Amino acid sequence: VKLTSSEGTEFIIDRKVAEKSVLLKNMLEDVGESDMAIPLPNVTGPILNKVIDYCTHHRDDPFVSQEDDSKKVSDDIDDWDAEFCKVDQGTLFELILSANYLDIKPLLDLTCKTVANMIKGKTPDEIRKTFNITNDFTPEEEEHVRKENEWCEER
Amino acid sequence: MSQASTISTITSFSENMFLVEECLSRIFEFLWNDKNSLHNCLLVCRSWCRVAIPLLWREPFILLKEKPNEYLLRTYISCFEDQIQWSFVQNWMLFPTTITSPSHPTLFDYPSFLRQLDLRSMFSLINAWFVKTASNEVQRRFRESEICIILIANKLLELLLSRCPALDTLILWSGTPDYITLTQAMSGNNTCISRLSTLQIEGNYHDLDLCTLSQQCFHLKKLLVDVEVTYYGMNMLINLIQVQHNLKHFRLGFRPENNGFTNHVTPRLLTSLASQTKTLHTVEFNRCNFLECDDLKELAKCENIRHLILWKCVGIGPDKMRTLQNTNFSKLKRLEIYVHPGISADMVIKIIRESNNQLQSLRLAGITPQSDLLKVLAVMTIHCQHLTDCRLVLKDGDSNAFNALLSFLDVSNKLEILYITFTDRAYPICKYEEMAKHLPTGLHELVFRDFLFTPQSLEAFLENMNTSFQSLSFSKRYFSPAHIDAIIRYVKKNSNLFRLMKHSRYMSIKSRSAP
Repeated sequence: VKLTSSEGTEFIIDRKVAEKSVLLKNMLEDVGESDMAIPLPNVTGPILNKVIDYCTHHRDDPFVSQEDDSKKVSDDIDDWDAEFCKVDQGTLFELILSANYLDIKPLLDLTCKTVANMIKGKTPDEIRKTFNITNDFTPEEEEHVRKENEWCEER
Repeated sequence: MSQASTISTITSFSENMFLVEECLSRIFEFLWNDKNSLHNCLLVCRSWCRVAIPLLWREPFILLKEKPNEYLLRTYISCFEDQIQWSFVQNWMLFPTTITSPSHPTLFDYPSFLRQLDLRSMFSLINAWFVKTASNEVQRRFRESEICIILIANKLLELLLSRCPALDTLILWSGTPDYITLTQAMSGNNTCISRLSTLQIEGNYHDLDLCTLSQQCFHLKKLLVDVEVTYYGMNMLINLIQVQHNLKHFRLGFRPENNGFTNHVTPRLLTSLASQTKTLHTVEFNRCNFLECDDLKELAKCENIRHLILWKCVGIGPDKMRTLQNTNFSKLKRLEIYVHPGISADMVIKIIRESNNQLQSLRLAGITPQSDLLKVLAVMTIHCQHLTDCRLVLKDGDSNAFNALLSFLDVSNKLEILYITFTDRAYPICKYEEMAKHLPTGLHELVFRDFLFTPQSLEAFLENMNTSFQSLSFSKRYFSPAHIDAIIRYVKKNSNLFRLMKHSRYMSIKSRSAP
C-alpha cells in the first residue's frame, strides 16, 4: 500500500500494517488493490513515519472492539509504548490528531493516556505552564467556577 | 445561564491542539475517576473547563461515595429554576440563607450532565449536609428531621430527573422504610430513564418503581438485583427482563457473608432469562433457592454464556445441574459453583472440557463426591491452562488429589490467585511443604483456609517458597505458638515483607509490592 504525506513524501507499507487504521482499512476495502498512492493531506512525513512504526510494532495485536464496558485506565502502558511516546509535546499532539484522523484507536488511547499522565497531580498553574496555555478566565468567572465545583476539592 | 453562553461561544486559543475539544475530551476520559485532576483541569482555562465539566458532573454521587460533602448539594440547589418553590422549603426549615440561597445563576446547567445516579449516595449526602447546615433550632423543632431530608431528597431527585436528558446508570434505593420513589419524581413524559443501560437495585425499593422501569427501559445491559425480592416484586422483575432487547448481565442476590436472605427462583424467572439467550453472557445467582424449579433447562438455552455463577444456592443437586448439560460452554471464562446438595464431578469435568481452555476463573466449593477431585484436577491440568484465579477444596490426607494438584500447578503458568480450603481433618497429612516448589512464579495471592500444616512442615513450606507473592494468608481455628513462631521467623528473614497481621484465627503477610 502506498501512502503520501502532506508534503508529498511517499511511504510503502504492508496492507496488514495499513489496516490498523480503520480509515485506510475502509478505503482499501472500497477501492480494492490499487497502485495509486493514498494521499494523507493532514499528516506530515515525520509523523506518518512514527505512526507506521507504531502500527508495524502492533501489527499482530488483536482488534479491540469499540464497545468496551471497562472503564479507562492510564497506568497500563508497556515499555515499548512508553518509549514510543518519549517525544516532544508538538509531536505528541500531532500524533493524537493523526491517530484521530486515521482512526487508530489503540494509538489514540496510548497518546491520550500519555497526556493524561502528564496532567495528573499538577495544579492548574503547573498545567498551564506545561502546555503553554493562557488563562482566559476573568477573575470573577474563575471564582464562580471554583465555587460551583468546590465539592471536588481535596479536603 | 447567560454566563454559560459566554463561556461556550468564546474560543480564544491560538495554534494549539487543545482547540480540538474532541481530543481533549478523550484525554480527560482517562482521568474519569480522578476528581482532583479533573478539578485542576477545569480551572486551567475556558475551553478546558467546558470539556471537564460534563465529565466531572457525570457521576458526582459516585465520585463522592466515600466522602460526602455538602458543596455538591449547594451547587445543585443553585440550579433550581423555580427558586420560589425552593425558598418555600428553605424558609420552612429555616436554613441559614447564606448557605442555600444562590447569588447568581450557575455557569452551567449541571444537572444536565448527570449520567450515573446513585440514590443511596445522594441520600447520605443530603443527610450529611442537613446535619451540618440546618440550625440547631430546626433540628430541635423537627425531631423527625428525616422528614426534611426526605423532602429535600425528593425535590432534588425531581430536579435531576427533569434536567438530565438520559441516565446511563441508576442505583435504585428507596431508603428505609420508603423514602424516595423514582415514579413520583418523574413527571409527565420524562424519558430520562429510557436509555438506561445499568440498573442496580440496592437495599429497599418500591415495586411500583420496578413497574415504571419495565414500562420505560428496554435497553438494559446489566441488571443487578442485590436485594431480596418480594413475591410481587418477582413478577415485576420478570416483566422487566422480558421487555429487554439486549440484556447481557443478570445478577440476583449478592455475596457478603452476613446476608442470610434467600431469593426464591421461579421457573418463570428462568424462562424470562431464556428470552435473552442471544445476548446474555453473565448469569449470577447468589444465595438463591431453586426448590421451585424442576430443572435448569431454560438457562441451558443461553448461547453465549461466559460467566456462570451459582454461589451458595440451595435446591440444586447433581440431577438438576445435569439439566445444564446442553448449554454451550465453549465461551466460558468464569465458573463458580457452590450449591447444595451438590454437583457431580462428571458435570464439572464436562463443563471444563467444553470451555475450550478459555476458563480464567474457577471456584469450586467441594465436589460431590469429594473423592472425585482427583479426576477433576486431572482434567484441569489439560483444559485449564489459562486459569488466573483458582479456588478449590482439598480433602486433608488425600495424597492422590494432592499430587494431582501439584501436577496442575506445574502447568498453570498464568495463575495469579490460589485459594485452598482443607476439610475433613483426616490423617496422615500430606507433605504440604512440597507445594512451595510447584507454585507458579506469577502467583501473587495465596490463601490456605483451615490448613493442617505441622509447624515443621509450615516452616519448610515457607523456606521453599520462591514466588514473589503480594499476599499470603493462613486461617486456622487455633494457631499454636510454634506455628506463629515459624511465620514470624519467616517475616523477619525477608526484607521484602512489610506487614504481618494476626487475628485469633487468621494470619496474613503482605509484601512491599502489594498494592
